[in-house]
Amino acid sequence: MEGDVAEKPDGVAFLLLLPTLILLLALFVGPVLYAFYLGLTNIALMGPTARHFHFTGMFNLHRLVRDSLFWESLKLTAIFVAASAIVGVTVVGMALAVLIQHAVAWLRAVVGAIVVVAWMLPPLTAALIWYAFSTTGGTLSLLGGSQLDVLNTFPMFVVCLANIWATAGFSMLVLSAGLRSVPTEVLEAGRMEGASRWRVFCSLTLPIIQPTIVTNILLVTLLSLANFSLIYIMTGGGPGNATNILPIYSYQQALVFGKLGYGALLGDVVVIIATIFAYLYVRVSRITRMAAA
Amino acid sequence: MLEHRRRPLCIAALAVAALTVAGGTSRTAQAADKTVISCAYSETYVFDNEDLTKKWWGGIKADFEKMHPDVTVQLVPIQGGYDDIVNKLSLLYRSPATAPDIAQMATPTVDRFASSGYLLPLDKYLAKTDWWKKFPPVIQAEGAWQGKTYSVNTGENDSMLYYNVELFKKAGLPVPWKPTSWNDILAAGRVIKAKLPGVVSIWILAGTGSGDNTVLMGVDTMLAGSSTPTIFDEKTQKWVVDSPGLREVFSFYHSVFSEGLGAKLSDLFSTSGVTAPVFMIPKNQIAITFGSNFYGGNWSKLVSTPYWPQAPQVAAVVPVPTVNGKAPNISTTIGGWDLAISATTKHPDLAFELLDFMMNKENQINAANWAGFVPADTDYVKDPSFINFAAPYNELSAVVLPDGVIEPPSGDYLVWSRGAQEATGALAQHPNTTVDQAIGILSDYVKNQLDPSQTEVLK
Amino acid sequence: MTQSIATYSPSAGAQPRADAVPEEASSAAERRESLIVNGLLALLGILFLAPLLWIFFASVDVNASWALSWPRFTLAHFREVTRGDFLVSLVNTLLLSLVASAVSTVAAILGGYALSRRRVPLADGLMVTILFLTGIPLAIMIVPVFQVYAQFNLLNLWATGVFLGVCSLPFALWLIKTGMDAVPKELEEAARMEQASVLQIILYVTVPVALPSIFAALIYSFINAWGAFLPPLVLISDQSQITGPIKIYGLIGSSDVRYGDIAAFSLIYSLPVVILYILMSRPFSGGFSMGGAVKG
Repeated sequence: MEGDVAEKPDGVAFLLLLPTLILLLALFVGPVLYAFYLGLTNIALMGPTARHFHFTGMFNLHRLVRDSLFWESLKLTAIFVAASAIVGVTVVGMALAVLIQHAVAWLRAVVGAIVVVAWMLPPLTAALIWYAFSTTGGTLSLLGGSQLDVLNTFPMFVVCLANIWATAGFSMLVLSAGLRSVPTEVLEAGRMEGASRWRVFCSLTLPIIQPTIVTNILLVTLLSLANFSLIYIMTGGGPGNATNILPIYSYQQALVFGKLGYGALLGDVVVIIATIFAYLYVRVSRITRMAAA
Repeated sequence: MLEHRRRPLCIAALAVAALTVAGGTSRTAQAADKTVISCAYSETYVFDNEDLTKKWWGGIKADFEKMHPDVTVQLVPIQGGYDDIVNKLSLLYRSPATAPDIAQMATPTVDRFASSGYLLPLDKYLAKTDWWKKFPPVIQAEGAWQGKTYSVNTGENDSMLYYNVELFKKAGLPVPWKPTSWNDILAAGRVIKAKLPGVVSIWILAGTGSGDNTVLMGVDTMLAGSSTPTIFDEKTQKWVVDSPGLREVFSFYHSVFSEGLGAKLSDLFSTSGVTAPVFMIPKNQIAITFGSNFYGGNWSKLVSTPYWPQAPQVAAVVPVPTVNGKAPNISTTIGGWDLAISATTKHPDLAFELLDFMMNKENQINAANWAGFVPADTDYVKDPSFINFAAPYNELSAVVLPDGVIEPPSGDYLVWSRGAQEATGALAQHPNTTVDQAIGILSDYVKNQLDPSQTEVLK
Repeated sequence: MTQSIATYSPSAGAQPRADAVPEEASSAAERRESLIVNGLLALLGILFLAPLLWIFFASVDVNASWALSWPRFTLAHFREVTRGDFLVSLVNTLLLSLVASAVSTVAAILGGYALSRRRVPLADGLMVTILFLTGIPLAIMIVPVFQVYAQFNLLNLWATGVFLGVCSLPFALWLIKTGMDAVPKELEEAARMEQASVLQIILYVTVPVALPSIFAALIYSFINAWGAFLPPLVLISDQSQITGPIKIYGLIGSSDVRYGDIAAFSLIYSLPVVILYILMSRPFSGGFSMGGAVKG
């Protein structure tokens, strides 16, 4: 690290990190590791194996590969994360960040407030609002001038929209901060040369804030991956299994069917996916850094 | 330069103080000389509303503490719906420190709690009571596991067919109506659809929105009156995923939804699908309802969700017939709420004394009326304070009760149930779904979740 | 609304006013462009506002349902949900969120400083690990945590607050570490000359300058705990300690669904978050710069 004050490992750093390490190990890493172990056992919510469970080796893993609903759920998770987090939130967040930078003061104040409040709202409130918004007789069906049950007709589309609505504010904050860090002189120079606003944005602004965009995508992806309350309250994973993303399926196996072990394994899959994303992120930011150097 | 900016330090100090206080207050001790009996129960799901929950459990606590001045009854209400109650209870039982001495639990979950080793066998206590022997055998059996009894029923729900007399008259259908087969129901529904197009002809729950309740009040109720009622084959220990009975039920669903006789998806698939008819029937929005016994109580003045004084004149009620009118021509499931005592309780005798107190006539009839139950005791169901609370509904609910079928106690039943929810959901959402496809959905679901070797086809 | 999110805080760098630059550009084109920009933003604003209509209408409607309809006005729902135990649940939510944000922010300030200023072995690996912890579904940790809490008799509001604080800690740590990276080191050097201890340097030098990111972390932790649903549902066993979302969940799961009460209570429950936004929007907006958070 370039900013080191102390040159070698020191006890002070360790002491400062101690609260964080203790808390994370005891209440975060510990439970996660335990969940990895539980994923390979036959622990059940109730019944003979509720307390007297044991390690079952590859049994749950065998089941996982043969579970057609798991693969379906994995696909739905990919769609949900890609459509809402990567495309939706980033594009909408970027559009908001750019527009707000150039809009008149009162409008950016009002719209900024609405969008950020939408993000800050408790997930339960957001889910209720979107359920009411998209059900028969809700605002969406009235806009279409019909009694269409939008939520049950296009369930995945609606939960993606809801997730975009509830996360775009965060994305906007991150990207706005990135846009502000772009040196004014660079943009001015671009404009002087007669380039259009769009060209300046694409060829100057975007490359400069690329690290911010990548970070934002990663964060929004992780937040969406772990999203449970929104879909659970809106559809419960249904109708059928149409919105049964992995966190929901994991909950269903563990706490509806009572198969805690298998449910934990499904949760572990989410952890592994998150790890892969984080790893990819480091690779990408390293490449970006090298390209910049 | 370090003199200014003292505030952050204060914030840190406050945070530390808050944590210290947190550690301190969590150990508020109960008065040491009093015996504490804890009772866990549903806060909003079992009784018709939260105020009635407080009234019943608060009354139990006050009365019992008056009888035993040295005892504190500790109330542990559990929030949320059916799944939340099951989850919270099974977590509480994991540690003796949190296991409630007495717990209210859904009847179908008793076996799973008992087989976990969480519950106390009650046989030696029950033998000494005068009410236990008055329970119908089917209800006594609900609390049994491997030859011992672990729980006591405090009220049941069963299924009935409601029909709206005003709508029937408007459509030119005869009243009183006495359907003797499922085809009679469809025939009446078709007339309603033709004459009164804005009305839901036949309300029958479908889909995954309301969980197992959808199946309990729909597929399971009808299956009980089909030609093959079996869900779990005790002989082979396998789940039935295809049978003539299942096909009869699914083809009824197919007729309802392909002919446009059913309700809107947003009502059927919502989490409040179970209670929606209670509000829609008084507004003349449904002609025929596959409903539950609790509706009548909801329309009473005391419960008032909603208060509907004209109910006895407008909403008539008959048993759900069997598929072809076979005597006694009653199809219904039963499922209710039980009380059980923890295996790790320090005061088993006192806990049973409290349970016994809850089982007295006044408390049981109040529970039945305030939660929309049929009491298990064969004397209490004949009591005017029960029958007149919601006439004519309560009387019929007691008549159909002994013919009720209970759901298979195995935890894997919920997998089968989920498969049935998805099958009816597909029939409701895509009217061109065939009966074969619906059977396929159920069959595939159960085979995938359990194992093909645990399923069978009945011929 | 002068403190809006969109008013640039000086700490966040120079104001980029690229749109004001080429003065020779035709003013007609400028005006057209500004019309498009403002029009698009207004449209987006309306789209974001539309879903909120229901909650305002239903909360004051005698016949509230899931459907959107012009309300027959009543304040009964608000009266109903400002009774005793509803208010108690909000106070509980506040206490829970205060504990959570205190835990995560204090730990993250200390830890963030160490990661930003001190040599920490495997710091990069640690940051990446911390990063992906953000993506772990709470549902899978809840059973192990419950078992531990039950063992030590910790199934209460305070311990749940600590757990929620830890859930926000990875992201809080990350925000604060990034914020501290941007603090000039010369400031600390000066303090070091005056023989200040590490703790003093953190409190009086680094923290004041890194305040935007600390506020961002604080607010993030607070609203995370404020909105938390599954942990309080599972981990709080005392009825007198239940929180707002559990109360709403109870209303939805009740056999008698009172839509108006749900809407009214959701509004009241969401209000503090909005107030927080208005109060804190300025320091908040600067705190979210997170350019190259992880060094390659």
